[in-house]
Amino acid sequence: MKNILRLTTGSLILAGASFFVMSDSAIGYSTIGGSLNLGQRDFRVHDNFTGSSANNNSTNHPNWPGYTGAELSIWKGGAEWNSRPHGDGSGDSSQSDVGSGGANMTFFWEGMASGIGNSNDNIVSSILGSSGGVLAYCETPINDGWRIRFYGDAWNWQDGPGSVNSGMDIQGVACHELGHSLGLGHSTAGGSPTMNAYISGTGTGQRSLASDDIAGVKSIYSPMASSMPRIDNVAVQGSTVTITGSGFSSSTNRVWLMSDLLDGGNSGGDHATVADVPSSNGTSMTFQLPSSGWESGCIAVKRTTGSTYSDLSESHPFDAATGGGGGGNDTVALTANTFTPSPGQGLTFSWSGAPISAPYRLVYSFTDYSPFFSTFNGVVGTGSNTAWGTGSLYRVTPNGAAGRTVFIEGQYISAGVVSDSNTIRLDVQ
Amino acid sequence: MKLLRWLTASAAILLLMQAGNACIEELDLQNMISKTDVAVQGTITDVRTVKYTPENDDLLIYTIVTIEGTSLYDNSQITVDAAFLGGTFEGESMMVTSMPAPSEYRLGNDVVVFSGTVQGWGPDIDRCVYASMGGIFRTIDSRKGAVVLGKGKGFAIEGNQLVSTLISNIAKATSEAK
Repeated sequence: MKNILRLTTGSLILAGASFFVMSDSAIGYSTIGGSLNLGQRDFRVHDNFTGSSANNNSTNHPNWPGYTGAELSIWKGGAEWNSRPHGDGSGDSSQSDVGSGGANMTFFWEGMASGIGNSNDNIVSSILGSSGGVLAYCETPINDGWRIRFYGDAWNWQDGPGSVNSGMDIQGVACHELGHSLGLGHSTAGGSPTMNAYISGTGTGQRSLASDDIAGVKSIYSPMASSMPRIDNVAVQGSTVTITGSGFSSSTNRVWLMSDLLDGGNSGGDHATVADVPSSNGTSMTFQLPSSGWESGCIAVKRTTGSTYSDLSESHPFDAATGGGGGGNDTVALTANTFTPSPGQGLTFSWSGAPISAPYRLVYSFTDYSPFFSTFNGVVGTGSNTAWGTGSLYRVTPNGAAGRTVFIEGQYISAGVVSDSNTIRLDVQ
Repeated sequence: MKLLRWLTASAAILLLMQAGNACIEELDLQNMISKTDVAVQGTITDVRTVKYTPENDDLLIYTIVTIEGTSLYDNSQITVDAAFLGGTFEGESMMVTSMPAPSEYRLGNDVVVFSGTVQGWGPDIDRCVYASMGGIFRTIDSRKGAVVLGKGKGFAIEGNQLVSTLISNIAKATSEAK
């Protein structure tokens, strides 16, 4: 009797477990627990891929300004999860629209990082050594951020941008790994969804979300709310930017711009934020670009008062490289003798790689209440580069800068072409 | 017999649901054989973790499992130390999506493990559980003999099968490769 009872009980437990398994199996997707709040939507790339084919796409695409190679591949891999198509959705011949998630979930591209970061810095990079048969992995848990590593020299990584006929596709694998980073596990659905447990062929099929992947991201972040801010167009005139769309707050909004700080640590990955941007009709807003601290790439709008997943718009291409202010190509290397000056302390800025004997202008922006920009822009100084394309400038840290974070960037004009430097950040004591 | 099949299938499904989240290439048995030099059926007799920091990189934690059993490639008695990335070392954890599920590598588990050599994983490791969660498979006893639990399409062992059948399939795949 005892044996029959045990057998019956055991069978019922297994049957119950199988019922739940069958339910999940019918759905296909799975979750690993957790989700990314709005402060964890950033992602960056430390491009230390060593294979030549991982960075041999040098063709720019207007829908993805400023990035090529592995960085562009990974950017597109993340953008596929976004709520709506990125810009006009173009830029990948293997899919009609990049941006198919349909949930209240948008990654925010933050460009490059100077290092691999810590396990919660949201940086994608490669790792050297034997892969042990693994293509890439994502470090979890995700709630406080994540880190993705590709086994860089163990596989023949390809950056596309079109179809990939040999090796492994960075974009497809990035899309898969970023699916883990937002909280998805593997799918048992048929039809090779992105979150399949294994990568089929070269992995280009994993670039495009399948219906099961979309159901998965919607299960974590809910289907995209109709009220979610939407960007239809971004127009740049000089340093004035006008965004048109819908769902903007009539009181204040925050505009997210890509930060121009190449930072590999915990402090990196923060977007440059222009605060207090009103939109009286909820469909358009105009703001002034800070002089420095941001980079061309992408832009998003967040309603200031909200903090739910649906208070952030999808990301949209933003290219203001010739619009004055920041942005540009960062071809000039700018540095300073200290990054934590005290008021009254002398500061020497120096640079190299600038156009020979061409005029320069060092500009600044600063934040009143970090990390939000206000309209505090100005010029540090002007002059001419040396005949070796170098330069330096001495200034005394103003007393009024105490306690502020200042972003400084160089602009260099030669034959009508504007090039610029990296941005440096000064935290004034 | 039907009950056994049903139990085996249910256990396999449950294991599949607990499996880790490796991002691995699609593998079939032949592909797995071509990429590994050891396949062992046996018992996990030790599980330990080590930490290692590669040059110019961050700390990594590896789990090493020791399997004592029989080689499926040449029928010899072997003991294999095979590692995968991830684990907890002295209270510090590194959890990665490529790890097998904890239920797969518990001490005392009967398993089939495919293993290959690795470089750059530190002084304590010279071979891996190939494809991490894709290279370890639980086995259970049945009246007909040990059964290895498959992990579905895309894995080296797709469906449940007797270990004796797996050995035959390995021999067949090896001879076809020649």
